[in-house]
Amino acid sequence: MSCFKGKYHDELIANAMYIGTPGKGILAADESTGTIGKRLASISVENNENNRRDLRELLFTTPGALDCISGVILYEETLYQSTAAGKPFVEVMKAAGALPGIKVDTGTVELPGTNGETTTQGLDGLGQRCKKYYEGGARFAKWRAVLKIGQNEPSQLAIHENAYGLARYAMICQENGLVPIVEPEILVDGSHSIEKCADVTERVLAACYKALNDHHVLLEGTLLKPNMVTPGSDAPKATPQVIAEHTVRALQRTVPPAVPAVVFLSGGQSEEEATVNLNAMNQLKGKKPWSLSFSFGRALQQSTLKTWAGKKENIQKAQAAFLTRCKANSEATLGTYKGDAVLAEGASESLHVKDYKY
Amino acid sequence: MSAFVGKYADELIKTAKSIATPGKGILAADESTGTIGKRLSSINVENIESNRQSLRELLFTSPHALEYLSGVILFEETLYQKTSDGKPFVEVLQDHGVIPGIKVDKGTVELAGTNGETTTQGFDGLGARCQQYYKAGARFAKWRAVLKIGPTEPSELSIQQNAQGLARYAIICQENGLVPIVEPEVLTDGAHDIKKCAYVTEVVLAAVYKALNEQHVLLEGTLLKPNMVTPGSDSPKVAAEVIAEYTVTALRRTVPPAVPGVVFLSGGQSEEEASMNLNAMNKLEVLKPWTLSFSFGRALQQSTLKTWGGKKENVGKAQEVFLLRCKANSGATLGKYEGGAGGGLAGESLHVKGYKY
Repeated sequence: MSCFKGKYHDELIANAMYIGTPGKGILAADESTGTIGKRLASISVENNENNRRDLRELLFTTPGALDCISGVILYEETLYQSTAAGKPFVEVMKAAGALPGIKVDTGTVELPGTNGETTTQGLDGLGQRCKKYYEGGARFAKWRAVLKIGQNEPSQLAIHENAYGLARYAMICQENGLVPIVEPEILVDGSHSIEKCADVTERVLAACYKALNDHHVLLEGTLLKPNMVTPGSDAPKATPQVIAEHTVRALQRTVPPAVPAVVFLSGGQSEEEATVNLNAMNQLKGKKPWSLSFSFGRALQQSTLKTWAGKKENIQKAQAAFLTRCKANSEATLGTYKGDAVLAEGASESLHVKDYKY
Repeated sequence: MSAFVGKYADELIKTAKSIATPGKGILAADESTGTIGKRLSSINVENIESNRQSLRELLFTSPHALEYLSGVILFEETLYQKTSDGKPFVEVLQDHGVIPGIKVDKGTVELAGTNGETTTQGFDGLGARCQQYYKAGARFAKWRAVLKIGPTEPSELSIQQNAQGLARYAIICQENGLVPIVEPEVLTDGAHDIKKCAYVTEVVLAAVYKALNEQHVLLEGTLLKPNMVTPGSDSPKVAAEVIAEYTVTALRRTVPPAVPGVVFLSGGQSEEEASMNLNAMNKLEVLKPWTLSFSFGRALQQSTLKTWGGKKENVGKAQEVFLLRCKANSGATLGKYEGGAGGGLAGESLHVKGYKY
């Protein structure tokens, strides 16, 4: 094989496959302290460790929710937190059959000489950190590379830097027992057509898989977290069927069958939009040798957050809202979502923030 | 899309899918005049046009054989030849729903500074030639890139040159209505083990699909013609199931689902080996989003050639032998081949060291 066969070979394959279990998907709860602060501020909640812990406890202990969740991506702080009763979050997840994951990148920096394009940091000491996270119970990792569409973007440099950054990160993860989620996000910002997005997505994904091959990454032990293929945020919307068609075609042209699952990012789509689009993809007839699922942050938590508003007395209602979204997305991975999820306040609200920075 | 969608897009997709029909495969009858000369001399037949015509007529008019073929690759001379009754070969094929294809490369030349590695020629005027071939009835093309395994081979240069060459050939074909068969053959020559072959095959295929993406090739309108993943010719043989596993794994790691079919080259395997290996791949219980079929030259014709011996009175028997191989390989594409068709002749290795077409 062209790939590196290390000591975690079989475990990586098993874990990657498990995360892609039909009917399940990923809760991206890895907002950094700064980012979660913005979320908490939007519901007038102070950004302190206790509140951050309370929010995550609300999510992870929602009865029945983790049945729909195969993995939860965590921020480092959260990996070591416990419920109010003192049970470590990783144990809560494990007991419910959800694999703990960990965000390992340390954010983006600009590439000089480009028009605001970026590369992602976090390779220094990454191997050591992965080891520690593995010991802490994590079994998969996530690293977000960001590209944008513009007159001259994404540039060859941006594509190359981000693809090879992802490949290097992926290899280091696998050496240390973590399934790498490969996330080459192409931002939705702009007024470009869906065809343009498809073109860029295909080029970026092709570059990613070439880089992964160059770095001897075991594809069977990875996951892909791409953007869906949609029109730009300033362009007229497209139907879920059209989005599904363009997205699945882009994947068919670039993602080798050895990859067990594709877990889409929601990138600013409203909760309902993201679910309906995912559902349309799973209803599409055609070759899909990888399962198509979700790795949603905002699109799973938005209405839950609003319903909670930081108040203890709202927890039950908030958890009900969260369970609704989890179930809806679980059905979407099976193509059986009927669009009848009781829409809590905020579920159809666009979550797009121009030039979004995590 | 990143793919070029020209006026032939729908037709290309349809043609590629048709060639990839389960239960059928390709007869590679595109031996150049020089190469077919070697075959004919091995049965003491003179290398003249009428003999070349007789051989191909024997094959194309074998009763029922064409039912198991979705396409036939031809050399330019053959594209314009007829049966002894005066019926154009192209029409014979078309009447039986078999798609005519055309070899368009002009052979390999060495890459200076390498250890005998090569690149493939044929770009000059390729677009115009493709147009001509399309007019004559061809609907797919083939271009053979060659790589070898050695201590420092394949080199990065060789991989890049051959991958880019294949991609450039492919887009020119698509501009002119021909489905390109993309053939990056990694030769079996050598004493390396199957793992080494798997490694090289994966690296080469990854480079090929990157190049195809860069050149905006419409993958849905292409076919792949790779080597099977096997030990080197000087290494101990392994079971068909092992070859199947390594081969399918290599493809799963590199070939996007948009590609409708993979049509293996036989590369010196005996007729029977090639069929058994293809069969094992189709029996493998793992997700394969492209059909796995054959594009065999020697591995479909060898015993037929020997049985014919250039003699008119042997034509019927030779045609029966040919039908046997076609049926066997058809069964192999469905995982239903039980083995044993054709006896001893079919088990003869067809490996020639440093094989040059």
